[in-house]
Amino acid sequence: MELDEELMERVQRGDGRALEALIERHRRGLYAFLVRRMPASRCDDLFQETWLRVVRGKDRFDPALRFSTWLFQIANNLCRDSGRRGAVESRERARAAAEAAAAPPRDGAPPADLRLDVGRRLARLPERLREVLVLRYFEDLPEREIAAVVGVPAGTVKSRLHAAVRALRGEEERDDE
Amino acid sequence: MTSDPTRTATGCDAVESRLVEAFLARRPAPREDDAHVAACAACRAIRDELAALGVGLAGLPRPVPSELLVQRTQRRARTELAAALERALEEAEVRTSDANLLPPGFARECVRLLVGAVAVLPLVLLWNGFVLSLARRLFAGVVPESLLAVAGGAYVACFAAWMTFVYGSIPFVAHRRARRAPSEVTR
Repeated sequence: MELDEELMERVQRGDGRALEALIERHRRGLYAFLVRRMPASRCDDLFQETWLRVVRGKDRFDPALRFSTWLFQIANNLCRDSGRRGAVESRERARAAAEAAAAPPRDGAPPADLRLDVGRRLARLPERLREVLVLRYFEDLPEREIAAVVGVPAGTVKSRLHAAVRALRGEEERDDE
Repeated sequence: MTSDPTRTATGCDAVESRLVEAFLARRPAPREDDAHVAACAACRAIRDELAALGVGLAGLPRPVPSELLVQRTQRRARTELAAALERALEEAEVRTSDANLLPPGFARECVRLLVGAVAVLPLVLLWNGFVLSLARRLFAGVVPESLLAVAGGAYVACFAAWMTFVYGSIPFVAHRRARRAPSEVTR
């Protein structure tokens, strides 16, 4: 199977099939990332916009980087720029997370109240904590790559991850940065 | 929530850090801390909280984009890619034409004009020589010899200046004709 970076090189040469293959390959990861970061109503637009930015910025892609890092970097910047911050967004996200958690459980999934509670806590996390936690826990990105995506030093990522876990556990947020 | 005054700053902090690292990597709690966790109520509580948290997070549904959204995105992205390529090609063409100040066909036009100009040169020279000798014969005896020489010299100088202008304009005319040539072809 061709590497993402090889597919991206083909996209840089104008190969539409390679672009479709990349979209197909990263559809789940990117969409899940967006849903965990933003209100559900914005995710479809953000999903499309992320890929359009990949195309527009194709010549700026550095093959030394992993494609997924670059993709999440674009998506994360879009989330930050989307202007849906503040109380309204927070409420909508909490509601969306609650709705998502209330969805029918998979086989062997924990009870709805536990999922609901964790979903709400996740949605209430401050932006800077949620973005690193989603990338680490759900997308399995190493801290070094998260640092590249978020644009902060790796040490800051580590301290934010620990702060995010503390906040999820219900502890008061400590400023370790 | 865990807040236990019996926690030891050094040992428990290190254990908590390792428990959190394992949780984030979705690995089981490290075995090396088993003894400490078994003996320490605070760390045990943290381990249990993290385990419950992991269960809750793992149970959250993983959202999947609809087929329609994926297909629409693929279509739009391909269109955008094609448009980007077209723009890049146009920009490359503009850059090339800017870099090549001499349009294609310029040399051919130059040669054609030069051949034409050189072909008529003997006739032009002969004609001007004839004009000069005729004027000399007509005005000999009427106009002083020195004045005739000055007038003849002025005529030759004007002729030379004119010839310089005509032959010097050949590259410019050739450039203009060469640039006009493709549009005439496509018209």
